[in-house]
Amino acid sequence: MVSLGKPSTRRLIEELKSVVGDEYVIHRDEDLLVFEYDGSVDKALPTAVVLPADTNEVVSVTKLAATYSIPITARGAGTGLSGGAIANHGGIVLALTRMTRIIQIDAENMTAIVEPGVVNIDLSTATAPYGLYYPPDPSSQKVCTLGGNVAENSGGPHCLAYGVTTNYVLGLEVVLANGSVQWFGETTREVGGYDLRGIMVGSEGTLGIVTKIAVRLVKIPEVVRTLLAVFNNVEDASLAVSDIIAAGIVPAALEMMDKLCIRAAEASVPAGYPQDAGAILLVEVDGLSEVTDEQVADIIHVCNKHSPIEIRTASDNIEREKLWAGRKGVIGALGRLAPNYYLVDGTVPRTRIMDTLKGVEKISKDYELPIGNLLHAGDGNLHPLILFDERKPGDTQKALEAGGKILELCIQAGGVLSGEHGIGMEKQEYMPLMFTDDDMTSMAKLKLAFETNDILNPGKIFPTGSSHVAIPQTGAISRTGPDAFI
Amino acid sequence: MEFEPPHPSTNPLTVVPDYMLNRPVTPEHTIHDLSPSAVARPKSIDELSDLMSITNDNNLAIAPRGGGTQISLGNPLRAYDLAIETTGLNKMVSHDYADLTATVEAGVTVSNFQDTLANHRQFLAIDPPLPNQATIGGALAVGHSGPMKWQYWNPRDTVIGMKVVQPNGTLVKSGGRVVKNVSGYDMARLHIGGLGTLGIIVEVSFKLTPKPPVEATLIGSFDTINESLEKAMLIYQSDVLPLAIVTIDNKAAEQMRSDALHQSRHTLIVKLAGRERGLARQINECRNLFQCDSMNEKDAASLWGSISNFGYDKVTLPTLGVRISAPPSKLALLSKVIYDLSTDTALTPALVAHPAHGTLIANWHLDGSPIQSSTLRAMIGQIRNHTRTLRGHTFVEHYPIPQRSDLDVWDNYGGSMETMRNLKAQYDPRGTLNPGRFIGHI
Repeated sequence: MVSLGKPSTRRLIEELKSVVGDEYVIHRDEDLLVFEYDGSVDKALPTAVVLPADTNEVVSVTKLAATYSIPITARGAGTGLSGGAIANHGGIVLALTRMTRIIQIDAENMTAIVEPGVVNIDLSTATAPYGLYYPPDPSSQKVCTLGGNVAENSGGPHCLAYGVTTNYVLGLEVVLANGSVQWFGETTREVGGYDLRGIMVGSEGTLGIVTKIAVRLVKIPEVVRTLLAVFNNVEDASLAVSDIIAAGIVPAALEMMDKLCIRAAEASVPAGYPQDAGAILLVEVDGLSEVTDEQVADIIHVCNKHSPIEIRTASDNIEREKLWAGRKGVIGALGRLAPNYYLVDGTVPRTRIMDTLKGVEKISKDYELPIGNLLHAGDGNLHPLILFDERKPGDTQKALEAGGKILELCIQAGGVLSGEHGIGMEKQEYMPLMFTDDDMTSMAKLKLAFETNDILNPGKIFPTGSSHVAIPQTGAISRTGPDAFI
Repeated sequence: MEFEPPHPSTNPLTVVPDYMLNRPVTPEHTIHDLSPSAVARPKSIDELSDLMSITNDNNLAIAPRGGGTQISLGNPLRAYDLAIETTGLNKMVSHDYADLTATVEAGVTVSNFQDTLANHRQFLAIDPPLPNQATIGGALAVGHSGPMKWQYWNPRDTVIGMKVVQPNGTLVKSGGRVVKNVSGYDMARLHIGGLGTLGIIVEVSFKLTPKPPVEATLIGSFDTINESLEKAMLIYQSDVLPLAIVTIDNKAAEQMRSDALHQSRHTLIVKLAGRERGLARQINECRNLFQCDSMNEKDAASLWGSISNFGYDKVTLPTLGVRISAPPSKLALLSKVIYDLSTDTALTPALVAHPAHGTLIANWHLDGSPIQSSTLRAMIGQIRNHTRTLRGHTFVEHYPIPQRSDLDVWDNYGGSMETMRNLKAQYDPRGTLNPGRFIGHI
């Protein structure tokens, strides 16, 4: 934690005000409170929050931070789930939410240039008149910013066929820790030299501050078809998932929910999911009408091999929205079942989903905590939701330990620590489960190539101590509420 | 920042154990006009690791080599003691077909890998030149791809995990064998397109694509290149989602010597794939956009091979060649620029464009014509100026050896050279890997 002493802090605040204007520097304790947490409830109070208007102001703030040797943590909408936007070493939180210009839409060449504060869905809304959209769609897309998406390499339900943020970023204007401004890539598909744009995406704000983003857009599909398949249990549903992929069908989305999630969702946002179901799959295909018709038929054929209770296709957009509403409302709905949840994010090979879910069930029994399962199943991306009550002594610790066990299970199955939420503060101590010291040293060199003073979002990604599971993972604990997304 | 070795390099023959230097030096190992003192072909990742620890300790300048298909790429090497062939790393590690993923050692050729994947009707969505010779590691280190990249993105988008031996010999991994992963930095990006300057790629995990049930290739020809590019843009902007869109000008057609190409006209070729009904619809939509014929499977396969290999096989290997990346709508204008500049210097270019991807390849055969180095430099300078005005870049893929001295074959990319130098300094502080060959002569 960096502490400046009162006179220096006062001087810094004045200098920041002279850069961005008085109204865009937040420094009174009571005003800072809303910036001390993100999508997780881990907290750290910054010295000041600064809201720059443009790249030049970002440069000036960065130079001030260097002068005062205090950290800068960039922040978008604060919906991240791994503590990426928390200033856990104090310093300046650079909130980029004023930089919301869509600078250019080049419909002819299917690209756009935006500022980092643009909300994900706003880009697609702006490009819709041209028949184009931006595919990565995190569940928080109505509030999360594209700058945050770049920092976390965000995915979303539709990244199965369409890919994640990194597959769409063509170029980035970046302010480095020393205040220099560089473009990594531009609007062209190919660039020469090291793939700096690819390196920046998913680097969790530790390498530079992104001030402009050039992305690729795609054509809005002619037809979207959504299908609900209901199964007796997660085993049947998992087998159907593997078989769909093995049959060479890559749907646009392939989501799974287990019994606990179905019940929670239905009690809150009735989507018409059968209450007695053991698991459901929500499958979406898109493209030319001729193709989607056949794909739907093939998917039904595969599902039928696994004793479905029911298969239903949405006949219109309203039905489709309704089916998705249940899926998107699960997290909020869990509030009915328990005061708190710990949302775990891990990925396994798609063929290992069933084994892993069995392991999760055993962990649930061992720790006597209910665990719901929500999966981007087509990607093998698991989201076990461990329900607990932080008011019960020991419950929080149990939930954290259970989460750790689940991550170990994912790694053992040939999987990884995080599918789409990032490492941040939440999982930094788990890194040695997946990476050797040499691997992590190599990652540290990357950081050093960008900056040597550890000004940008310090204390993230890399483990803080030698013991990797014992340190409390408070960053992972979330209260259930309508503002949580996965 | 300079990356000259801190002291003169040693003769590899004296510090590397004999059993490692298991290949003869041949003319094939010459890069530009430098030959190595020795050649090693490690049989395993461990052996490569041991070897690189020795080369690093002794400041030996090394150049990794896969199939050697793009060996002349890059700036001139500053030093070249040892060639390291990766073709001994040739194990197919696993094809997890039900997961649509596979893991392979870097020395496996692209064709062998694709053949294995085809057993389960899957493929890797990259199509570099000379796939029978090109290795997986080499194709990624160069990072360009063939015509297919438009629909299936770039080679980098197919990689989900990678193992690399660093210049000091340590083996590091990143990513994994799953298709969605944000655990730590995306380190593989450093090496894809990094031309083996930060480490040697030794093993790669990929996400795969199911083979479409049916494919079709449509071909049509035009009086002018502008017409072919205009039609290509119409297809790019339509509902049709081709696997590849390529235009070939009359001169390139002449060089490819394909029976399918009309050698005095400008050709547009579109590859479509999918399920039968969807394909039929796409073919119809294309036919509404341009007058074309459907090619038979065999001729189409042969033509797509020629397109991928253009500029790399013996017949079409040019003296001078540039690869321009620009917004798709600007390719017609850039083609005109290239024709005009060529006319000024009495040269004839051969042009192949991948319009949907914004790539324009221009090659010249100088055929011993006495052209001044300064003239070529001036022409490249002008092409670069024009491309930059249109927010594009020009990479020089082929350049006559005696004339390449101080030219950087890479363009200037957004003022990021300082960051690239810092990366090289971090990962290869002794400058042993491909010294001088990469962007900015690092």
